[in-house]
Amino acid sequence: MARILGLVNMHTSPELGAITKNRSLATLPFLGRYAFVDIALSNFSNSNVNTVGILVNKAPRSIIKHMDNAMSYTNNTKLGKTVICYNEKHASNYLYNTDINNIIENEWLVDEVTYKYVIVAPAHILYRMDFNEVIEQHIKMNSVITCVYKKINNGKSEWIDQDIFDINTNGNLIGIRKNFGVSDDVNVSLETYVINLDKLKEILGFSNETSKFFNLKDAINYLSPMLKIDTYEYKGYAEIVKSIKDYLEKSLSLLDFENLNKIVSNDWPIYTKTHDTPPAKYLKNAWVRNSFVSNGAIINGKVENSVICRDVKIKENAVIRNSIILSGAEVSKDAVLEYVIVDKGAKIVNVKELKGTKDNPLYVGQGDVI
Amino acid sequence: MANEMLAIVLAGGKGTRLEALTMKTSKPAVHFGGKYRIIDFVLSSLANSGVTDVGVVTQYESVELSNYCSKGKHWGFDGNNSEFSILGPRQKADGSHWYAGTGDAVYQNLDYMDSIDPEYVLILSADHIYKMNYAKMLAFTKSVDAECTIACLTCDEKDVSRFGILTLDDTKRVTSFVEKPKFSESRNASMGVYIFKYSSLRDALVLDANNPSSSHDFGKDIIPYFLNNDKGVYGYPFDGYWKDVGTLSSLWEANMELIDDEKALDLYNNMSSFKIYTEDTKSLPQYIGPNARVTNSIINQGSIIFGEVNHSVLFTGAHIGEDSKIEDSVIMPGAIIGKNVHLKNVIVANNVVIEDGREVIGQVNDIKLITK
Repeated sequence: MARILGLVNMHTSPELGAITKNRSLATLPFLGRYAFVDIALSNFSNSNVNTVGILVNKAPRSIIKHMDNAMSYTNNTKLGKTVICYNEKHASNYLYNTDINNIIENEWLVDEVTYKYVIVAPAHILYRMDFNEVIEQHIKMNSVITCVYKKINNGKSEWIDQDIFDINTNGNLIGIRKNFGVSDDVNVSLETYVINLDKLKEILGFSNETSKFFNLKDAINYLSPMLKIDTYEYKGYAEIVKSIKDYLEKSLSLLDFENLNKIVSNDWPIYTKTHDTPPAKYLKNAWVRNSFVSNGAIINGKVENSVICRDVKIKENAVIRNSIILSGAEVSKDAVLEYVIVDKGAKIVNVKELKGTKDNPLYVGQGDVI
Repeated sequence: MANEMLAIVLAGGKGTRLEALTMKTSKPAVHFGGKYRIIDFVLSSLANSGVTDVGVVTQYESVELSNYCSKGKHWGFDGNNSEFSILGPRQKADGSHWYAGTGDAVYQNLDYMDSIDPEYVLILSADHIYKMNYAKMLAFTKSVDAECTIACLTCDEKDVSRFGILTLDDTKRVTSFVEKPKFSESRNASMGVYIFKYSSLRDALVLDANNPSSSHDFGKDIIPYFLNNDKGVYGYPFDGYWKDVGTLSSLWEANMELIDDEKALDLYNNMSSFKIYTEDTKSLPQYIGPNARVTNSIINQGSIIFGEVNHSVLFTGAHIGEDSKIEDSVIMPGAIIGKNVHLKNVIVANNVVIEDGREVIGQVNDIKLITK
């Protein structure tokens, strides 16, 4: 495969409310042992893209902690590197805090490499993408920019507010607009772009002259009437998380084992950081089904249709249904939780019943004792 | 600054009594406790004790173990202040020599130890499951100015014939040492963990190497030499959990103790203060299926469970098919159990595939090993 610079773009990650107050969606735990950003990083790693920049929009501590030295992703070796790009200059002004300004701020990254192609991938879309295939098309068609999309047939209810592509009969992009849920059959953007490095440099140049607030998508949309921009249809599994409801729903939908294998399998692993926690321990009163359980968890209650993260304690007679319990949280004896997301280190001690709904899951904040 | 104590981990043994589990790998590389390998316990204990100069002596089927240990990175021995080496037998200018005994294995690496030039050398075996702070043992060694300190634990009367038995006086000085006696008043069993002053050990090993009647073994030759020459040998009592997992039944039993006995190894309390480090696997999340039922078990990431699991230890990537029932068993990494299988009191070896409908029932005193 051609040598490629990968960029993980956290700038377009949606905010999910309180749960993303101190962290980006990129570092929100996913299926217990992963973080969202691991998906993009593993797609890069599995596609043999070994030089990766992470465009960080906020909360750098959380991503730096998670990345550690990035050795988990196999690409911080002499064969490649992973670089955390933080837009220090514009961090406090969200209007200026765009992916383009971030790349400009860290321009040495694109100046240093001699690769011909750059792939930009989002941190908040759940998909399993072998970038070799889109690169192959990009090279074969002599493209300058290739935008990746997925055809969906439920656009009236799903992927609302996501960018959608208008594509002509030659497969060229003619415009980008938002999905307002008007029609079912739409081409949703997977916010994944292959761009020739020299074109990206050009974009960095003209964007700031056109508008300081431009982000990459705006620039591509701006170019679409005057430049042949190609598209690539991704046919695999893809989901997007835009709300806390999505977070719960999409996580639990992967409890369908066939679904799970569409995003991670032994031949397409998701890499992550190790925490050296012991295996999960199920005690005598444990009763667990249809759930993901992470190492270090100690379970002595009933768990169903849920995600149990690292080092979580579920005490005797506690009942957890349709919930996500993040690392280090504790649910004490006899408590009943349904449709609840319990953030890291929180303790459910005094409240014995917490019931949200599928559409409005409850959220218990990080470290809170209730 | 040089570290004052070098650890030499003896990891060359075959572990014959583990039968087919050690056909293609050495005993220290055998898996234990859902996630670990046996050698993780001593290497993690060393890391937690701040002993970061470590040589691992290998011999029998060493490829897997050497790969696993490479650079010591799982235990943090790959930093600037550590020295980590794999010490396999080597061809030398004067010929090729397999290690003829534990003493000989260390003797043949005197050049390596000289290059580190430690004040003390900790000799230990990679065959046991325990957590120990060797820094405390070193502090004891210094406090009594011992030439040699032997860690010992209290054994049952019936077990004295399995161990080297030490008799200690009031100052913990060793007054006698007998290998595997039939009877003994003393219950102090040697754990095969020794701290030597390096200069004394070096002299003793050179003498031993030139003694044609020696079996070149620490327990049989080196320790008796220290005692006979009045070299100041002390016993260091250890009162934590310690388990020899040299047989199928003891390996099974130690795995079950992780489930049953909270105090046994203490993997779960104070998880952050004395971690057992191991390799990280590229596994799926641990998945418990819609009709699965899991109770009273220890299960690692990457396990996929559709059936029923009770009182068992499941390693990375173990797959349990629908309507299968696993009880009182140890399922090693990558083992695939089909549908409608019933297993009780068994150990399923790594990567074994068990066909649908099979039933294997062992007994507590007759644990069955399934290798195909």
